[in-house]
Amino acid sequence: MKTMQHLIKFIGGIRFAIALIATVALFVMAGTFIESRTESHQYASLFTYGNPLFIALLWGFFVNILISALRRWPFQMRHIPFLTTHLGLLMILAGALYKSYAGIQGNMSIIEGSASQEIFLPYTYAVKVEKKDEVHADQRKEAYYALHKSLSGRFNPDLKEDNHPFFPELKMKLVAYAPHSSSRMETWIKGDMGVISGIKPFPVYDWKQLDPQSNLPVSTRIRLPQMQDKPWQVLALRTPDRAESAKRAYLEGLDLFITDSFNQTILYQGSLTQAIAAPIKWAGGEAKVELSFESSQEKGLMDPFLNVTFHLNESGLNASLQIPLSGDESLKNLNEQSVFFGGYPIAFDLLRKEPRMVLLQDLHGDDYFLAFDLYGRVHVRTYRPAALDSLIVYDQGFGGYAVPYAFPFTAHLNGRLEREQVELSDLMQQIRQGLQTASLLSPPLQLFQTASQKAGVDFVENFTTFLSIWNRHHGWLYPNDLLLSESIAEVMNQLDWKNGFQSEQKAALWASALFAELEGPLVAGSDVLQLLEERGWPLIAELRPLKTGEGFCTAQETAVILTTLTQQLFKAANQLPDMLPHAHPLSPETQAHLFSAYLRAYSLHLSDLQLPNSSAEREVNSSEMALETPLTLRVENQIPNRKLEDNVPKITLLLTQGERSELVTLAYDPIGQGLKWPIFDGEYLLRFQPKVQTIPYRLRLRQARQINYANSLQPYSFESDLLISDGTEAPAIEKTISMNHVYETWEGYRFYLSNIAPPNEGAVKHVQIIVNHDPGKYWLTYPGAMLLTLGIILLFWMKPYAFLKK
Amino acid sequence: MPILILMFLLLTGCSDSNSDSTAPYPHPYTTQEFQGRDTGLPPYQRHWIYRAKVPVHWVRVVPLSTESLLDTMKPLSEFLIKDDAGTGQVKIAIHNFPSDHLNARIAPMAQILRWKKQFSSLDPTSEQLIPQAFGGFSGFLFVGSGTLSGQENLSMMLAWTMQIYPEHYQSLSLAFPGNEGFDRVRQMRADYTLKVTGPKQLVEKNREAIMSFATSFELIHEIPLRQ
Repeated sequence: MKTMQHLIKFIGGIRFAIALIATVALFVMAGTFIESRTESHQYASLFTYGNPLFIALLWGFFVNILISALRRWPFQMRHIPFLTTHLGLLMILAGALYKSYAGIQGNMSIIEGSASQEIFLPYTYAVKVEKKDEVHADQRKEAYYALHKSLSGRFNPDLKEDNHPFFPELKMKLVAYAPHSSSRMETWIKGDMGVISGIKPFPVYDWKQLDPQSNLPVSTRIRLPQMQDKPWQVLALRTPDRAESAKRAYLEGLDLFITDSFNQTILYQGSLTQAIAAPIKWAGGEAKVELSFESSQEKGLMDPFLNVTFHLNESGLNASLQIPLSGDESLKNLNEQSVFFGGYPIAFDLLRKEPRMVLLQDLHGDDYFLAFDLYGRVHVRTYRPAALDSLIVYDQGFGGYAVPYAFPFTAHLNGRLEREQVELSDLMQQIRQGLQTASLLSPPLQLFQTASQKAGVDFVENFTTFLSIWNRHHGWLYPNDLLLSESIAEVMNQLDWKNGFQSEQKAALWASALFAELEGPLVAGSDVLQLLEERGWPLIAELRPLKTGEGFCTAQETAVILTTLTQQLFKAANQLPDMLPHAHPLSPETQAHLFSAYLRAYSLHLSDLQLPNSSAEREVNSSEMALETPLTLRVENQIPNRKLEDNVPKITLLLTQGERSELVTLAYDPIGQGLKWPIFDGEYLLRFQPKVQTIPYRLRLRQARQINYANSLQPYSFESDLLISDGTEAPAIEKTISMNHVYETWEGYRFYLSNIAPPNEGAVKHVQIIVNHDPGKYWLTYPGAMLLTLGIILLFWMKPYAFLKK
Repeated sequence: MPILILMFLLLTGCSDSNSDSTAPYPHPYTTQEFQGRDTGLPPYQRHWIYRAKVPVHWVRVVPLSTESLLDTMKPLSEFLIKDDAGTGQVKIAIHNFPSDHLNARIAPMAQILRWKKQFSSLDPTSEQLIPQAFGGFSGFLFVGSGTLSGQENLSMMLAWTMQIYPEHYQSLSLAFPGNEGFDRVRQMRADYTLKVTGPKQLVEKNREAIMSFATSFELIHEIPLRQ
């Protein structure tokens, strides 16, 4: 009995209180130290406030204060201040203890227009399980299987449903847990195998182990319906150098052809690899070819292209062109320097024996799907596991996920020549449609149309063919000596300049003379304004403003200046002295030469006409030939970080249902918005995420906005308009919360605006709201604090221990 | 002692973080609901789809229940704001454009282009295109003034073209099962437009109320959140 009295005296005494205060101080110091060392609030919290020992200390304080107060029994008037302060302290401690057991701190995620009543409890672990409702297939049953820790700090192996037993037949057992892991979505290359749905998995080769002198190994060959009739080689490589690998895979088996643009005679044929290695020569000239197939950290593999510089012996032409290998302009021989002069008399084409698709995986785990068609065209698609831009979801996820690759190529012959022919046909169609609706043709077209009618040939067909042939000659005007087809020659013979076009013919003759002088230096790269200055062109003042920058005129400026120059000639035709043609009657080629000047005055050259998208491209879109691969998750253990917040735990579960069992590994999804993975052939969906708690309030997000400082993009405030209902008949209330304005309900639920994304005003916003509930705040903590304050005042006022001094 | 009392008052009289920051609606209003379009089959049943805060002095023009609203040229509802002097009125028309597929929706810029064509002369300096997002929809507010075709006075147009967030489009598809649910969902996920036209001065005078009306326009049913 005496021991008990001593014990009670000790527990209610000042020594025990000092010991408790000292221990708490040590805890707090340790917590501060840990937080500063690990930069992890979670770590420090686990060691201090979240530690069961710390809770025990609070209970120690509670008992100490309670006993010290009870020891004053029987109470007297002078005990009032003492009892008041102690009661206040007890209430504050009771409030803190109550909050540690029944309080809530969680995150709510809402999208504008939607509502939620559920919060995620951070740093808690549960497996969300979903199953389709047997009656309403569109609806789902869902349950949470929580992971509970035992006193030893390990997770209990058996996971049980938290609330209703929705799935009593499903048993879940934790077989492995890792505190930190990395997870990656796998697409085309999974481990050492490449996977394309519908065909047998094929091996993936390690780039570093391949012989640089040998051909790359072909993993498999597949024949695609509706696609080019040859089988496609499939190469799968894991590589540290994606650009080099892509380049080598592209060059293998690819030949370069140089042809005469006018008669399609092959001038050169050889391997593109050799053409890149050393300059190539043929009877009429020589060329140097470079392939650009680069990659960047941000964009992955860039669009490849060929750069060609060449020299033609006969004309002395030195020129360069670029051949894009992907996109709408792919395979076109683009004359970037002097596009206004049209194409070149030679053309560069590519051809490979077998089309090829190459699956690459780089060191970051990004997959690249490259397709090389027969004509050297390239299509690249990047699959970054963290940012997949398209995903096929089968049966709401129960059927699994897949990523697609839409084939951009058509089954038809689709080389450069075929594409040009298709584009020309589209142009013809456009002109024919225009003829049906337009009441008036431009004067040069009227002239050509009349001549075509007289010659009895089709106007549109001959006009577009003429444009096409003219475009193959590199020059401003159609050359005098380039032979025409029979029907176009007939049209040219019928051009009737005398019937209202005399001044135009005169202008065309002057244009012929002028450009005969200018074309040579222009092709050689001289500046057009400089040439005109040197020759004292009288109307140059009008042309000078057409150039904006310093130095030589750009290609675009040169085109505008040349067109304006031609127009000046046609405008001033009446003031120009007469000029007689060299010969009478004019040859069809000379007529074509003069007529081309007239067309130039109206910007009617193939390079000026914006061609519609080729029907070949449209056909690709309509074919919708696509390959796909199942999306899978690969989770690997990692060494845990000291900063606990950065760790991503991993669990392996053994699921059993009747006779069936399945092992599944899941990585923690801290915001619970990632994919849910199917098990048991799509009967259930699983996700490892925080526990979810339902609160008595439903929040609907009407609008969220970022308010910027005036004339600035710097945010001044973030606001969210909410509609809050408590599930009763009472109407929902409208509230706007912002960073500095919290909304708190009478029950003590506090709603803080935590984050709004994305910041742009034209996008539907996702909002994070922190929900906090301290259940004892209004009837324990706050009244306790008031009592404590009152007790302190009374201690000073009543001076209950004044007698001790006496 | 007075110091202690002062401290007590200071400690217990701290400001309440729960002060009401909710911006009041600028005018006396009623919350009104709007029906979507019918399927074109008698008796032309329509679901209640939208709601908005409407100033009490606006006059609502409701379409006849005996006529089908299948044609998207017909407004779901209209409001008239009359000038006190009786010199003119502002018309607010609500349209929606149901679609069966995410990619079958009308591009917002196509709506704006259509509105621009309704002006016989549009003052280019008055043109504004302001990105908007509220209620789960996003799009643009087009502002322009000039002469509307068939009119002589200076008019002003405030017009919203809004499309539902693609994720909501998918979520809604699963939210209301059955045929009736499909009809409702088709209306809920439809693009909508709010077009305000009238004399420039009168539109400007009511601009704040119109903006508040437009930003309060939302679906009656909340959009389910799939997590």
